[in-house]
Amino acid sequence: MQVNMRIRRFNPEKDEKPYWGEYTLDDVDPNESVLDLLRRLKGEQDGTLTLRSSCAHGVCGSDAMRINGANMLACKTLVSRLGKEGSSEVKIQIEPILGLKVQKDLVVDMEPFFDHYKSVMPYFVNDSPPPADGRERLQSIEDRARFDDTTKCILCAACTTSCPSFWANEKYVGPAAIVQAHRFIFDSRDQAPEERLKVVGDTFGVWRCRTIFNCTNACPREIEVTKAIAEVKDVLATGKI
Amino acid sequence: MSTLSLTIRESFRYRGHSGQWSWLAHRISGLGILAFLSIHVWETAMANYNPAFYDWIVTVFKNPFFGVGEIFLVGAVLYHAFNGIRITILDFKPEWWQYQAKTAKFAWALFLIIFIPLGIYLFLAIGTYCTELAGEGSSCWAIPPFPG
Repeated sequence: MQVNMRIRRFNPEKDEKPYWGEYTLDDVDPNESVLDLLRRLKGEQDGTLTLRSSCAHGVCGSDAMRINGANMLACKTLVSRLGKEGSSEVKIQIEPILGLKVQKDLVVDMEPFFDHYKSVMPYFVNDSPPPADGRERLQSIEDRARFDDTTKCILCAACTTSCPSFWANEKYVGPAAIVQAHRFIFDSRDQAPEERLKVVGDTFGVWRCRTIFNCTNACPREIEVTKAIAEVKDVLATGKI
Repeated sequence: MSTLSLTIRESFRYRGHSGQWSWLAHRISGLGILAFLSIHVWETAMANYNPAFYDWIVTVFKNPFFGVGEIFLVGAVLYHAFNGIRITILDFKPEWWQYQAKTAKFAWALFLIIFIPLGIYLFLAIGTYCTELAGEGSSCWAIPPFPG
């Protein structure tokens, strides 16, 4: 099958403004991923095309980009998913994720995103001495299940950059940071929920969420992001974890 | 990197699902209601500060131009109310999130079922008002002269 690609290009050293680059790839297998196509394009047609990718299997979270208008991981998005069934031609439009500064082509500055991530203290806090047998701190199956969903995050930023509240104000901590906060707030072994709740309960915390569900739809790990945010809102409103 | 133009442009360009369109309609209707309330509070305050101006502006607001605006206002209030209830429920009941697309459609349906007949009724009322004035030899489009 033939794929017509339209890619948002920008080289800050040469271009004044971003522009659309148009490319055609022949003999594409519908089971190839968008990342496969981008790598082929870079190898065969334009070596200057710049993108981030690493594991290519939906685990590292490097290649979140905007494919046909919505955020996805390029490596997890198959060509067959983007075209009409049985069609021999597919159009794919690729843009960098929104709300973060474009450094070159599809590469954006992820620092503001990781600053928000760090702000919720995304690490286990428990200063009490470990159990006498020196082994792990045990937890019931129910307690572990409470935050299972939010342990799946790979920090690809697909959710945060799909959120209109984040486009409107980059100070908003964003869905990804709230998911990380949720993962520890609801962990029965963690001892710092108050400090985390202070960050996400701030003016630029969970109350910026307008329950739009773009984050839930964008998450390549199928995390119930909006639900997690609402659960954190609930803790802030009721004071009960 | 966040800017107002990016937010407005991408709110329409980003391919979100029903949740995004609900939010967009909610925001636009909210801004419309805010605009109405600002004018309304100002105009009503004039009844105290400048009664002659108040009487004049109330007549101006009977113009079909504002009549159509009123229909939009009714629509905005209806949709904003229904979707507002939907969002509030989803915020209080996070576990119901998987019904969000269904409830978004439900809010639109409820809005259309009430707004369409109400809108037609209000539109016909404008027609009746204009016909009456035409019978008296004046036009409903005419803006009365400002007093003083």
